[in-house]
Amino acid sequence: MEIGIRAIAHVLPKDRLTNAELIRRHGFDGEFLAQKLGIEARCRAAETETVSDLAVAAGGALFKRGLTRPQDVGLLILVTQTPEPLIPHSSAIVQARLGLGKGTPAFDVGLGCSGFVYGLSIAVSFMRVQGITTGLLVSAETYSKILDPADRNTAPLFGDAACATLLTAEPRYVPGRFVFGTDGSQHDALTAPRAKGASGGDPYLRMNGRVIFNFMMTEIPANIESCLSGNGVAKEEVDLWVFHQASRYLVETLAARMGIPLDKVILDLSDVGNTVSSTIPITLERQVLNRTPLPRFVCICGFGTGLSWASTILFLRESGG
Amino acid sequence: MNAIGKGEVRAILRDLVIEIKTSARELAGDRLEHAALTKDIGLDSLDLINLLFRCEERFKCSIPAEDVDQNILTFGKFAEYLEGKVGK
Repeated sequence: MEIGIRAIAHVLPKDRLTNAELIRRHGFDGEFLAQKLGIEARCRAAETETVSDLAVAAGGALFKRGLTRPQDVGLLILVTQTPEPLIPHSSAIVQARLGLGKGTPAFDVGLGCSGFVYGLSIAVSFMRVQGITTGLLVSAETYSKILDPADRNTAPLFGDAACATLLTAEPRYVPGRFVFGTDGSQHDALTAPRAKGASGGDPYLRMNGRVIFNFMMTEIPANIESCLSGNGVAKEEVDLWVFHQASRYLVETLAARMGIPLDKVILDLSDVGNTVSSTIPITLERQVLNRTPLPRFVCICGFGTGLSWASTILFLRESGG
Repeated sequence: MNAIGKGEVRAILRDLVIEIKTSARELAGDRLEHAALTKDIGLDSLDLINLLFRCEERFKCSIPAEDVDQNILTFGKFAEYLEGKVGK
């Protein structure tokens, strides 16, 4: 049984933090924000808005398309690093609020920017083994709640969002072989040391941009090469490249280093920011699934905190086209 | 082990800077030597990270974070620092 991506729906919190606001409040360089980061605005969840709220809204938006019903969903995976409350796992809350059946396995995956690709692999494998024909992979983050508003490395970068991906046995895209990586020796390169509300220590997300950059430029090209050879696809055959939307500069520098023409590399973060595990599915929804004709081979690659990374090729299937 | 001679460092560094910031091509001689990487050449924080990475890769050396602030203020100072690293 082939399992893959049938449809994707994302939701964004209403509030936006614009470049003008960042310039006014903290003296950020407007040209740097717009040209280098490639971001004009980033979404901010409301004080009372949680990951579960966003995840439920994304799931609801997907059900509204009429492709499936809550009672038909046989698996729910929620990728998040900012669950509220900490216990229980947020996917249990989402399962109940979306009205999924009690027989539905629901669990969280605590990964960041690599989370969508890992989640896709877990979901597809789980569904194949269990004979489940309909699954939901939801990614949701409220990183804004752990950002230091004056931190130049992180405040202008991250945005909140949620995305729900419908996985079925009638897919538009089927993932091929996945290639994964982890380097925990550099776990402190992007870290939020303590839980929200706990006392003592730095409460904010901190990023060592240099370590992250070096990691991207060394590990990701090798990972992608393994992914291509593992899937029997030549670099030139890939129609579109959807990298984690870390920032415009990082994506374009990575593409140049790998000799990938920029017209095949999608950038889609200007109005949302770096939405962590949702950047890839948001980009797929807004820039890939609406194309005519649909591209045949799409390479997706997520990378970030952990350090953690993963990639695969999405193969077009006629059945869902 | 390191095939790069001390005398080549400046030319290689200049090429690396120009790859990142093409407008640096206009600077030469003393003007380049004394040019501040940020204020005069116009490298921002991401460009600097990129330059450090490329230097580490090209010169096969490590540039620790604690060395960065003191040694990469100007093109000339950074070149001297790298010459010390290449050491030939």
